[in-house]
Amino acid sequence: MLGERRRFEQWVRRYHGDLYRHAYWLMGDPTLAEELVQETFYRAWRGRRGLRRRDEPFPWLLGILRHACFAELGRRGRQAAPLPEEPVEDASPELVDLQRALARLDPGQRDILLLHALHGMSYAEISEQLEIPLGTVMSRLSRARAALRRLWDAPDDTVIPFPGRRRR
Amino acid sequence: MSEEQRLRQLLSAPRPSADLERRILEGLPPARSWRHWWGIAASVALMLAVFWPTLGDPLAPFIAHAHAEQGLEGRLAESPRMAGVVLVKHCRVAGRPYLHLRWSTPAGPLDAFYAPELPALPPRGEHGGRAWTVAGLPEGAVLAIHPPGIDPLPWIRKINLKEDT
Repeated sequence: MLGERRRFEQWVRRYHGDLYRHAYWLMGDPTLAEELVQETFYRAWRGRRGLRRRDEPFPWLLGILRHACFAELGRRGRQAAPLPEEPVEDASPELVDLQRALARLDPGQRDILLLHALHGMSYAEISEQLEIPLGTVMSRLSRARAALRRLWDAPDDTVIPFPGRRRR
Repeated sequence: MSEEQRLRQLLSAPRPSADLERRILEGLPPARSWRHWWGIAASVALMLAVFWPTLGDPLAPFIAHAHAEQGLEGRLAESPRMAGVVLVKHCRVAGRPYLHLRWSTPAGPLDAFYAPELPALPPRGEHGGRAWTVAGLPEGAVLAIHPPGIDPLPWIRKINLKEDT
């Protein structure tokens, strides 16, 4: 029991930073991001017996966090998260522009970009995390990159539609 | 620096508050230690020790009926609701008569003492068998046990029918 607690504490130390960054970029609010990370670990501790792969808990923790983030976004009517108030520390002007572009990206596109670029997940791992086919992962990631590229060069009020809502 | 690298550099930049880790750990519900489970085990053991005289004596809620014929044990074992019990001895405790009963269990022989104010078998002739009062049973007699509320007569009739045939 106490060994289990110690192992969980190691997970907190090891993963809270990455989970925070995911929540930060998804929600655009540092305080809310910290609350969601806290909630994630609380839920994970309560449901730890459901974890199958104890040697690799990160995808499971990330799944809990993403669920909490999208539930929060759902309460807000799935609106794009607001731009973070302050640019990240020591950011060059180029990175500030990138941050602004990222903040204007749809949360769904931002999410898949985070999985790939921040966590270094492979297509297969993203497919497992999002529970979508591999081909869909590739196409969504490609669209998200293209959208980010367009926003990077576009004026601040440009809004890129969410890829799930296709116009026919 | 490629676009991918710039993106990774940007995404990795935000840092949580220094005390986030502490707040997460403090917010977790306490772990249940071995001490907790040992406490539960000790409570259960204590309850068993207190109530064992009732729990450990499966004959307590039963009414004993006597059949004085020897050698019926095999036939008694045919019915799972009945048990072959041997009357070991008549004895007295504080001047009151008791029956010392013993029956076999997988864990070994089990003894119990019962006051002999128990119903006797029906009178002779009613079911074609012999009637005995419990107090008058010979030592070494095999007894049949019936749950309370269940009429023992059908069973007695069955035994006697077998005997008749």
